[in-house]
Amino acid sequence: MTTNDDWEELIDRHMRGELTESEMERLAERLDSDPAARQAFVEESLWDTRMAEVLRGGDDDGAAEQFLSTTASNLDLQKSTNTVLRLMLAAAVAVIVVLSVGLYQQQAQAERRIAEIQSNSPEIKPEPSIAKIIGLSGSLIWTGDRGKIQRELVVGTELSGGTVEGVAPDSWFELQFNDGSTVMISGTSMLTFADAGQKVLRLKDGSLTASVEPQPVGKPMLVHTHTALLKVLGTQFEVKAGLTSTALNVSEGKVRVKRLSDNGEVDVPAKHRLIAEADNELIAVNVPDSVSAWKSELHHKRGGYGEWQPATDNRPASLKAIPLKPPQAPHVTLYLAGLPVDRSNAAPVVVQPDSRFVVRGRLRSDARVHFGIRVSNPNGEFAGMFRGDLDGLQPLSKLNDDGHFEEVYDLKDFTVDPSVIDRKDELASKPDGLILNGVWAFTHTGRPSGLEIHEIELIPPPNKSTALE
Amino acid sequence: MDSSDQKRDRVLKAALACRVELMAYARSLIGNYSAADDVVQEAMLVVTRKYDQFEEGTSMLAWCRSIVRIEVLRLRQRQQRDTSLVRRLLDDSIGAAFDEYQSVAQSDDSESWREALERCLQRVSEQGRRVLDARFVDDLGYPQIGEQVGMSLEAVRKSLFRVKKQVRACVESSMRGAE
Repeated sequence: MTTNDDWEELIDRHMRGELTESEMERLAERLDSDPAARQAFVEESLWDTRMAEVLRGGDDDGAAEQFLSTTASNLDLQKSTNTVLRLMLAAAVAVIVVLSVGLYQQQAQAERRIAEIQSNSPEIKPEPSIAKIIGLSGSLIWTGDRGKIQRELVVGTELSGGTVEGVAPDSWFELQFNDGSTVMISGTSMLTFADAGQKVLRLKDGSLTASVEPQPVGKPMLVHTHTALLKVLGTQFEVKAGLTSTALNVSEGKVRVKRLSDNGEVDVPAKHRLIAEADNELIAVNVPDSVSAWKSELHHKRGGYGEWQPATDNRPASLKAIPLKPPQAPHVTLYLAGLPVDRSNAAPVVVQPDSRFVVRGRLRSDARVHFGIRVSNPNGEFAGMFRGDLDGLQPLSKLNDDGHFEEVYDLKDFTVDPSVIDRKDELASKPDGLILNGVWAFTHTGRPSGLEIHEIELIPPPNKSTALE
Repeated sequence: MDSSDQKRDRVLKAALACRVELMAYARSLIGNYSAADDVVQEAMLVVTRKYDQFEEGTSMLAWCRSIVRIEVLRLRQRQQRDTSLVRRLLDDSIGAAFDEYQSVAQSDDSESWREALERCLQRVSEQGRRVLDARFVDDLGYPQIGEQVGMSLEAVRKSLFRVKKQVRACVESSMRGAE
């Protein structure tokens, strides 16, 4: 059979509840990652359903009309006049694929349902809250267990589980479980969480920081990623997950990591890190000393928020800004590119006082290039977001003959990002001495600016350029 | 008839016109035709009761899908079935796919499509029809179909997908000809 046949078979079996858990996971991943697959899935499910309806002989118009009439009668619809109802039923019967004879025969069951509704029985018992939001900013989408999609989240909202997705580099979301354990995602990350006696998280993509209270014996917190399973009893750690690797930094306690490709397991103690990939040695190593200089490496590393373009003979690799509508100002369209600063693959990057950020790239025409950073405490906890563009007074970036620009942002000019201003008392007032997690640049010109980032560099003051003890 | 009754009739009619699409959605969440049928019926009753909450001008299909999703959860509660994390993720993915790509067929198209499908099914060989009936009507798995029609598992798979393709091609050809 061909690949297309395999895909059709997967859908065919899914529609009949025949998939295993791993097949369901494969289906979900394909749907999430491939728009064509999503479209094909919807079309195929409709085809399959139409075939089923016709093959099952669902053409008994009389039965359908009878059922509908019965239903209408029970719901006191008759008062809406028989004529209109007949017309409505006739139209309905003409356009719908008909209800099964079985349902007609199960009229008594339908009546019980109607009675249940009429007695105003609760729709669904509300699921108990397992956690509440204790901090957030930026563009976020939360999908609850019942499929409810919500973009307007507020601190204090209690949640019963679901999926939260950060859709921009400046997004972050902090959640506190009922036992006091906290988890935080930042940047473009996606986390699913549940707690039915055991906390189960899935970090589909991005970065997660957690501070976990001691968990019940035999029920560690589980963190699933594409490549690994983490078992956490009570600790502080940071994990970054991608399609091919999982990088873990443990600040306190111990985390057991199971690599899914070979079921290899290793314990990662405090102040150690580990990268789980298919082809590397699964070993925990000491967290290296921090550094105070950093430079993006777009030439060999794609990722971040934006459209990555590889290097050519004539131009360096770049990250092209893409549109973003801030949730707090949906009428505004920014053009934004952002990068995570990966502390897991290398030493943590500490932002020293008097450092400078340099952004190099291209623009279609002169424009203000706004710049922001996200920082954390050494234990991985979110510490704040800052803007280096002089609080909106950023001068126009001037282009050279090739359309290139270079803009410098001095750390002393950085101010608290407006999106976290309401938490300024809890968060750091300056980024000095904190760990750099992410950077982004954007334009706000009302139209595409052609912003492309070639390189972002953190330059420490002259006497701080070496690794710190 | 007062305006409230008129709205109720409009809403119910529009909701019923979405039934096949809602069946497809429910089946993709539940994986069982009969249970999906039950869920869609429940959803229609809810529509009848809560028609006044529908905001006219918005998507009827999206509104009905959200009701179907709740009814699916109610069904799982009644069955006391725990929903695994993978299942929840898949439900979310399916919900997103339907939100993005599902639309309601025009009623004329729907009827033409149905007639074309009935005609095309009549052209299927006896053996092919037995395989289709076993899969679509009796909900048998591939091994059981093999036992019933005397074919190997691989032959059942090939036959099923070949016949489905033939029928689909026939229907699409008929629909193009009717345009």
